This record gives sequence, C-alpha cells and structure tokens, in this order.
Amino acid sequence: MSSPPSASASSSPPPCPKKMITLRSSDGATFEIEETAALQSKTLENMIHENCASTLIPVPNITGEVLARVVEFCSKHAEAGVDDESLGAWDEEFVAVDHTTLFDYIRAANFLEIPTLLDLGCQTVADMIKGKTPDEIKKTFKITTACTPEEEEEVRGENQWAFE
Amino acid sequence: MDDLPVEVIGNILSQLKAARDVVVASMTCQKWREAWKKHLRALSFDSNDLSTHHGFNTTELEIIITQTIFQTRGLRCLTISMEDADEFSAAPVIAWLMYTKETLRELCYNVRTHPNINILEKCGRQKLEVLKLAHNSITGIELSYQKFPQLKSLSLSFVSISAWDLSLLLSICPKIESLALVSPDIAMSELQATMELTSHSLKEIHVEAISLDKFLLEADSLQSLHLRDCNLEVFELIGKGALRVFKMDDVSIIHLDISESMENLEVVDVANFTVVWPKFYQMISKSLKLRTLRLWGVVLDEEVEAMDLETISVYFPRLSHLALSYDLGDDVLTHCLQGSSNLENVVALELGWTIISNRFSAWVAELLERCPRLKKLKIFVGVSEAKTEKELGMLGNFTTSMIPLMRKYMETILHQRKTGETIKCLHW
Repeated sequence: MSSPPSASASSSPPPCPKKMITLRSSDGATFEIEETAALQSKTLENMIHENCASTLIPVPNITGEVLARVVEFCSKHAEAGVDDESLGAWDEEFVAVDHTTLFDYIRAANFLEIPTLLDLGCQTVADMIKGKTPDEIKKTFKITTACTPEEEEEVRGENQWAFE
Repeated sequence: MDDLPVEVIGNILSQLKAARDVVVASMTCQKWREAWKKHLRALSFDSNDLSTHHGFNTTELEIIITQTIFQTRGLRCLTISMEDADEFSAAPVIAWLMYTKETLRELCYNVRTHPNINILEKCGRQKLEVLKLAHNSITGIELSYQKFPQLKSLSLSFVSISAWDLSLLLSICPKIESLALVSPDIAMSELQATMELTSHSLKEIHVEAISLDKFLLEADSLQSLHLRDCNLEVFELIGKGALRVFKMDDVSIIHLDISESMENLEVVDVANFTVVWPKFYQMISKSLKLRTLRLWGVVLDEEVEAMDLETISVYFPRLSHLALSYDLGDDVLTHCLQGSSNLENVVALELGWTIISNRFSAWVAELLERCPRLKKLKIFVGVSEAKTEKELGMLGNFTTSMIPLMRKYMETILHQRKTGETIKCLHW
C-alpha cells in the first residue's frame, strides 16, 4: 500500500492535536479513531509507525458492530483524567453483554493486540467459568469438541484432589 | 467459542488462577488441555480455595502443588498462600522455584520452609518483577552474582533479615519502585538499632510495625511515604523534592529530619502522630500544592499548638480536602478560629473528636462558614463505652445543636439546587 505522492507526505507530520485514523470493518463500515486511542492496539501502532495509516486501515475479521465498540473502548481508555474507580465501572458495563458479543470482543482484541481489552474479556469469561464442571462449561459456551476418554482418565489420575 | 486460539484460552485459564478451578476447567476439551499444558501464565494455591470438605495436610499440599506445577510450562505468576500452614519441606519448594526459574515474573510465597532456604537465591531472578514474601528468613545477599534486574515491587512481611542485608538487597534492585516492609524482624548490632536504605529508583515505601533508634532513607525519586505503627528515635529522609504523599499512622518520631523540599507535597495524612509539631508545621509550610490535609488525633498541650484556620488557608491555597480532629479546649478553639480567611477550595471536610465537648458544635459551625464551596461533610464522633450523665448530656446537646445547622444547609441546598451544588451530610 503506497501513500499518494503529495507535498505534505514527504515532510514530517506537524504536531496535530487530534490525528484521526480511519478503520474499515469487514462489512465496509468506516470508523474514525484518534491516533492516541489507536495506539492501544499494537497492530495499529505498528501500522501507524510504518506510515501505512495515512489512508484507511482495513480490519477484515471484525464486523462494523464490534469494531464500533472496540473504538469506543480504546477512546475511553485513552481519555485523560478518568479515575480508576469510574473506569472500572465503565469496563464492567462494557462487558455486560451476551456470550457471542463477548467472544467477538475477545477475538477483535486478540487480532488487534489490545492487551487491556483482551485481559478484560478473558477475566469476564474466567469469572463465568469459576466453579463450573467441564460439562457445564461446554454447555454454557456451546463447545462442541471434547477430551477423549483416555485424556480424561489421565487428567483425573494426575489431579485427583481437584475432583474430590 | 470453538475458534478462539489456544493462547487466548491460556489467557482465560490464567485469569482463573485458582489451581482447582484451572485443573477442572482444563478438562473441557482438548484445546483447553493444550492451553493448560503450554499456555498457562498464572497459578495460585491459596488455602482458602484449596480445602473444601476436608483440609489437606502439609505433605498432601506439597504433592498437590508439585504435581500441578509440573504439568504446566512457562508459568509467569505463582502464588502460594497458606494460612496457618506448617512448614513445607525444602525439597519440593526448591523444585517449584527451579522449575519456574526461567519464566517467573511474579512470586508470592508465605510459608516457612524446613530447613530454611534462601528464596532469593533459588527463585528466578532475571525476569522477576514482583516478589512478595512472608514468614521467611533471608540470610545473606551476595553482590557478586545476584541481581534482580527487573524487580519493581518488593514486599516483605514477617521476614527475618539483617539491616545490612536489607540495604544490600535494595542496591541489587536497580529498577525497584515499590517497597513494603511489614513487621520485619531486623537483626542488627546491639549498640544501635539502625536501618539505612538507599535507592535512586524507589517511588513508594510502606513500613509497618518497626521500632528503631535510627532510620535513614535516601531516595531521590520517592513520591509516597507511608509509615504505620512505628517508633523511631531518628528518622532522616533525603530526597530530591519528588515527595507527593506523606502518611503517618500511629507513628512516633522524636527527631524528624527531612532534607527534601516539600514543594510538591499533595497529601499530608497523619493520625496519632507524635512528632515535634512546630518543626513539622514549618516543614510543610512550603507545600503550596497541598490538596489533602488530615491532622487526626493530635494531642495538644502547652507546647503544642494546633494549626489554626488562618494559617491553613494562607499556607495551602489549593487545599480541597481537610480533616481535623483535635481535643478542643477553649484556648484551642479561640486560637484555631482566629482570623477570617476562607478556605476557598475545600470541598470535603472531616471533623472528629474523641472527648465530648460543648465547643464542638461551635467548631463545626465556624468551619462550615469558612468553606464556601463545601460539598461533603463527615463528622466522626468518638463515644466511649462508659457514658457519664454529663457526657450523655453533652452528646445530646451536640446532636440538638447540629439540627438547626443542618437545616440551614438544607435550605442552602434548596436555594442552590439550581446551580447544582449539594452538601451531603454523612456519618454521625
């Protein structure tokens, strides 16, 4: 992807108060995000530094609906002067969604390498798993694969104490 | 969820942390088994989680922890926290530490080992960032090869260590930012109980339950100082003006020597603090940036004057949180209320007493007058168990006198509702 030749492209970007990056979702919707917010994503950070972000960044794996929320998350976390308590409350509300959406967030955070969102999503799933048996976990998250009987026996053998 | 990469499952299991939960969850399917074996980053053995119907004895615990840790690979955070545990024998503990040496970043361990092992020697040093030890002995630090290049946070609770080794330990942690010492058992020479700590990177220090003849702390980057339950004959702090938070809780310092400008001080929070007050007031007089001032349980006598409101408003123009608890004699009240300057920026006020007195309501009333932008008021009333008739009478008087005051401010609330300001009264 080559940037269009222009006078401004050759000089270093002037200190701009709010440099905006445009992201395009898998279904063609576009979203603007401040550069400072975008830097929370390691993927986007790399692309910005390689100066590919002068135009549009396609984000093929993520739908518009999810990408909009991800942009919201990054923008909120890039805001100055928000105290830890209110940010925590905001995060809690952010992940109070159905399982499918939660996993969409996790997938998006993984692809875009946003550690804060990824950890938040995983922590939420972990809280849901706590105390559940493997069958219950499979049911809750509609997991279709399973361990073989030999594997199950091996696990129980090595970790009897956990199943008492 | 079937298509989530195995590393992400590893992240989820790592957030679960508690060993039992992680083991059980790992049985969900093959991918989760793989995540458990290869991508687990955090594991915690906490006595609260481990024992359900029956407790495990020490040997059983050693076996469980060994078997579990050895099924994983690449562990970064390990927590072993046992309440009232007997000692672990040294061999399994050494095994756990050696196994995780290459990858460990965080270690929390609070069980005695028999025979005693030097955890610092055995644990992974290269990547360690957080170390929390309790109920252990640290014997001997050797400078020649031991260094903790990445250690940022160190916490030692109920740990035996010599004063010399403690200062050496700090010197081999070039990036240390946070140090917590709780109830240490510090061996030192019998002539003088002295502790000298030096660190150029240290940003916050918390020391609790310590009694020394001399404590010398040299820390250029220190931002937060918190002492609790300490008796120090001499406390010397050498810094470079970075100090922002100064907290003393049940502390007695006979000679306080701070060669550090207090210009950047934002929080002074002292409760039951025994110090040479005039010198202390002078010390904080240059702290123009002070936002929070709490002078709690200050014992006043002929030699100790309370800080009056006029002085407070002049010294600390940016003060937004003020908390005062003095025993108010008549003289004290007059002295404190002298002048008429307002505390323009105070939005939160906490007032307390320990001895009931009739002057308290006058004190509260006057302070409310002087804080025009007040939004929150907390009043702490200490009432002793044995209430004499007189004391009960005074308490009644106080409560009664508060009502018109609150009523006045309720009216103010009604008047000011349009501007959106409210005064909340909490906690009687």
